[in-house]
Amino acid sequence: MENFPKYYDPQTLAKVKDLELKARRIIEGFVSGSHKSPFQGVSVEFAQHREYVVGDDVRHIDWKVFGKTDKFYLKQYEQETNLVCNVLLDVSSSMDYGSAATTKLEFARHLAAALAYLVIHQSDSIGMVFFEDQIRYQIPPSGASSHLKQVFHVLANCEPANVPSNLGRVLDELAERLNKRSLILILSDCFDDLERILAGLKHLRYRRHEVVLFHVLDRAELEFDFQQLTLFKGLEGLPDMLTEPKGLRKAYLKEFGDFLFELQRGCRATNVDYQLARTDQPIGQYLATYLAERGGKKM
Amino acid sequence: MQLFAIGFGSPLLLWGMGVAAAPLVIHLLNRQRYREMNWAAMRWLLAAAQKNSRRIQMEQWLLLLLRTLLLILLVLAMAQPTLEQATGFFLVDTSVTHHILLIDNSMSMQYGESSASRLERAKGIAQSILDEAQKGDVASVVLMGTPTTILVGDPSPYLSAVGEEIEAIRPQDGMASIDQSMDRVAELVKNSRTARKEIYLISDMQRSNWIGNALADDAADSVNTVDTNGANGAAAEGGEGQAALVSTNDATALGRKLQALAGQARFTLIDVGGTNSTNHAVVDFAPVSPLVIAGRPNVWRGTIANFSNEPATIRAELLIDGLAEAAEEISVPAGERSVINFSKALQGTGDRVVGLRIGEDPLLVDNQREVVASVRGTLRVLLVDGEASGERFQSEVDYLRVALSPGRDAKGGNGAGSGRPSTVQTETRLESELLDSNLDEWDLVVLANVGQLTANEISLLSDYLKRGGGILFFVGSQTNIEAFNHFLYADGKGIMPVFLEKRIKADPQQRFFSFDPLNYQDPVIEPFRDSEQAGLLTTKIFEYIKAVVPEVPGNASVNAAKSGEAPSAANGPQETGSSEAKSKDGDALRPRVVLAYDSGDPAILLMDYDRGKVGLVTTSADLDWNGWAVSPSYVPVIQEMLSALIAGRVHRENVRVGETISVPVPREGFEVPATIQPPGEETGVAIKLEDSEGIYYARFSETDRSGIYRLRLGAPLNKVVPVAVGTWPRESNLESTDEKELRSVFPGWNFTFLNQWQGRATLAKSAAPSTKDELFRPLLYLVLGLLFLETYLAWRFGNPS
Repeated sequence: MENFPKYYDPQTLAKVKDLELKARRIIEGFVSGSHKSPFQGVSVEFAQHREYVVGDDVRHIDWKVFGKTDKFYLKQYEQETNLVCNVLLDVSSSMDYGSAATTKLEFARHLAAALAYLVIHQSDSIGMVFFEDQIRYQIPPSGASSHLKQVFHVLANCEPANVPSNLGRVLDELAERLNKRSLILILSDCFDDLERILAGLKHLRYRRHEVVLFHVLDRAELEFDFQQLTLFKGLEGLPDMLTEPKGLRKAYLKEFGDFLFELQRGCRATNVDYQLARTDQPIGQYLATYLAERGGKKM
Repeated sequence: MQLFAIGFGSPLLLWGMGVAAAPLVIHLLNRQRYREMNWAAMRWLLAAAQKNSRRIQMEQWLLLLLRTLLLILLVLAMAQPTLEQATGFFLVDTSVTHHILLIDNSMSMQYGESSASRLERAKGIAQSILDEAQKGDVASVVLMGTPTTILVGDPSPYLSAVGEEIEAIRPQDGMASIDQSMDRVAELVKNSRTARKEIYLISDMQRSNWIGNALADDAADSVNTVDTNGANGAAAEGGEGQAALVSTNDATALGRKLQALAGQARFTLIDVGGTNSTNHAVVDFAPVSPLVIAGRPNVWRGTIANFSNEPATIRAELLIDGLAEAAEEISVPAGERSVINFSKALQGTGDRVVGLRIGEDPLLVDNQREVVASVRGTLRVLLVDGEASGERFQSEVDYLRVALSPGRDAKGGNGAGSGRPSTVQTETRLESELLDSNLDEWDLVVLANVGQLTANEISLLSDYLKRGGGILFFVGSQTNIEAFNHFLYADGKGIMPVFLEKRIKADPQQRFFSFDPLNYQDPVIEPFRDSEQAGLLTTKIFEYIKAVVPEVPGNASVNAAKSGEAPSAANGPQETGSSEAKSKDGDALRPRVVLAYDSGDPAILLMDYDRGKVGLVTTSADLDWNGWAVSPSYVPVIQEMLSALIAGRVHRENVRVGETISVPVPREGFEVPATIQPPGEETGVAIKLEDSEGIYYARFSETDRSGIYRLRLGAPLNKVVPVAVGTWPRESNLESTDEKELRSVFPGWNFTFLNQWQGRATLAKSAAPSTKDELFRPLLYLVLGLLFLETYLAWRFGNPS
């Protein structure tokens, strides 16, 4: 666990502070106040009745009241923050790529921090899982404010490992390990075998976890607009290649496009919420857009 | 085999060819200068590369090749490449010269002032040009005689062999054709693959060959004809107008040809004519009457031209079969022509060669002119009697028989007659015997008061006419007008281009019709001029059949006859020239109204049908419808008509150099071999008889020498037919044109005119058309094209979508 340093190292503390500030700015600047929390748990404490209007979920109709009054009333509960959220962060070597200043890992780290901040401030629990070809480090879910510090600390100091990712295996392992239903947020470039990934996602869904896949990709990986002769050095054990990228662009885009298409189709098939996260867009804006979309779905 | 050798205007620039390696070097350098980057999505890049590596490699190689080729071509173009020798399809040779020698071998080139003729001088100059040619030069030779021939067509690099060909050139007795020659030269220039071409026209620059007809005719008119014997000097130059001279309109076309040629080649005219052009020539010679009777004097008329500036007294000899039989001296003024007549009787029958020869001068060939005369002992006339009778002078043809052979018994016989012609043998047959008759045995067939002819009989008569026979129709009481029109007129397609309308009788008050001589314009009636006592005008005609000559556009003779003007002399018995100028389809041409009635209707018509002659008398041959048979005018008119109608039988065709000899051959001669022996040749040339609508002809077109051509027909005919081929009188006029006149007649024609040859070095450079190297231009166009292609391909490969 050399990539995950001890907590209270001064440099680590500085990084943590920085990450915390960024996360707060993201949430407070873009998300807080303007959006209802999209992550809602199940509550048992009744709050009040409300008359049914068209469009309301019929599951919440109080049939006893209907029996007495012949009118539809909905039962409304006090929100109970029993949401458990697990963030899976891919720290494999492929996540260390960035055509601009921000690498995919960096983007994912900030995204994870913001999400953690959001969840903690909703009084929910959040846990973290760092993985490459296997689970490297795990922070169990907790809703304590001090837990956020730990999360930030680990996030701030996690470094990419020179190990290829094996997302499918990690998902399988996690599906076995997590007993309680939770919201699982996966932050990865998914540069792994597609079938294994889809199998892992399916496994998680089988365990009744709600899964959101944040597919973190660099702009260059999506557009491949290099002009000059380039020696592409393979990560994760793949060979190097010297080529004229202009001539290969069309073929690459087709291959990569096919991969994205299959992944998205697989996610739709397993009811996994697929979210493409381009590293060249502002995280706050991206997150705000995503949360708004998700909130709309939950409504 | 070497296809071509490339020379360069700036060979040092070829060192720049090294830049062709630039794309490769740049490519290799670029391979060393690349950026490195970690790449996460490597698996998809590898997959893409694996599927497209071959295509990408090919594209890269193609671009590299294009860029290299582009630089190579650019450097090549800058080095100004020239092709020194080429046999390729489109390659242009810029260093080799194509010498096109245009040599005049017409009759005038035989003119020799001293030892050498003009043709020999022309050959010598042509040899000099070949001797001065550079190694690798090629040459072609065109002969300007008519027809123009290409002696050496494909540009030959074997100049010594070309020289031998030139040395073997024989003079022709024909005319030079500038127009045809330029067409031939244009073909050579068009097919020549050398960029540098030089045309040398070596000629005596005879004016009549160069200047249009209008000017040439003016020149001809200036040579007046003087008849020293007091006869009418109407010795025209026959069909000379059909010669291959340029007309005024054609001069413009010729000028364009010359201009176009001068734009592609250096044009040099070399005049070998010299200053002396004195020449005397026999320009015409013929018997006055085409009917030559053995033992009977005939007048032989010749025309002698003096093409010089000095009057001359010229001794002329009449030649019979090559032997001088009479001689006479004649004065011919400068630039004029005189007519000389010899009266001479020929003994014996058959084809005889009669010629007129004058004294020697530098041009010998036109000093003698010959004709072939068919000397007849007896003329045979077949009388087909449509109204036969056993009583004396009751048959339709009795008076006719007497008129044809006056002095004989009316029932015929073989006794010698005293009239003109001296001997006419007649035989009377019935209408029904016509089909059984071999008409070729008869010089004239007279059909008198024949009621109706059958289709077979018409066919027989038609073939007879095509072979030169003569037919005379007399109408009468038995004439079936409808049948006549149906078979003989046949809507203008029959042997008689006139149709009969109706019988006309004199009304009781008028009592009779008279003849209208139409101003005695026709040669048949012309002897009656000023001879009122001959009785032509007092002849009474009581009945006739009205004949109508349909109006045909261009039928000038008919219109002229009706208006009393002179008929065309070309139809007269003195007509010369080939029968090819006549009807080609056998259609009758131009009926002549010889004599008319005072009512305006034609009385006697004469017309041509192919080689033969047809006559029609629209009243009876006996006294049924007229009193003509007992009139003093009857015999002479019948005799003159006899002479006119047998012209096709007795007149021997005399053609001119370059024209086709065409002799009809009896049908049985088809199977026999035929040869023709040109003058001066010891052996004959085998020829094939040609079938033309059932008539066989012996034809020979290579008449490039004047003189007697002898057609030999083998068994069973075993016959020799001499044919005289004469020169063109215009070619005897040696007047030459000059540079100034040529430049005014053909403005815009760029040429060099030399009176003597002193080597190619003396030729003005300004006359040479530009022969720029054109190879760098196509190279630059290619570079431009490749540049566009490279740009497009680079863009296309880089932006495959």
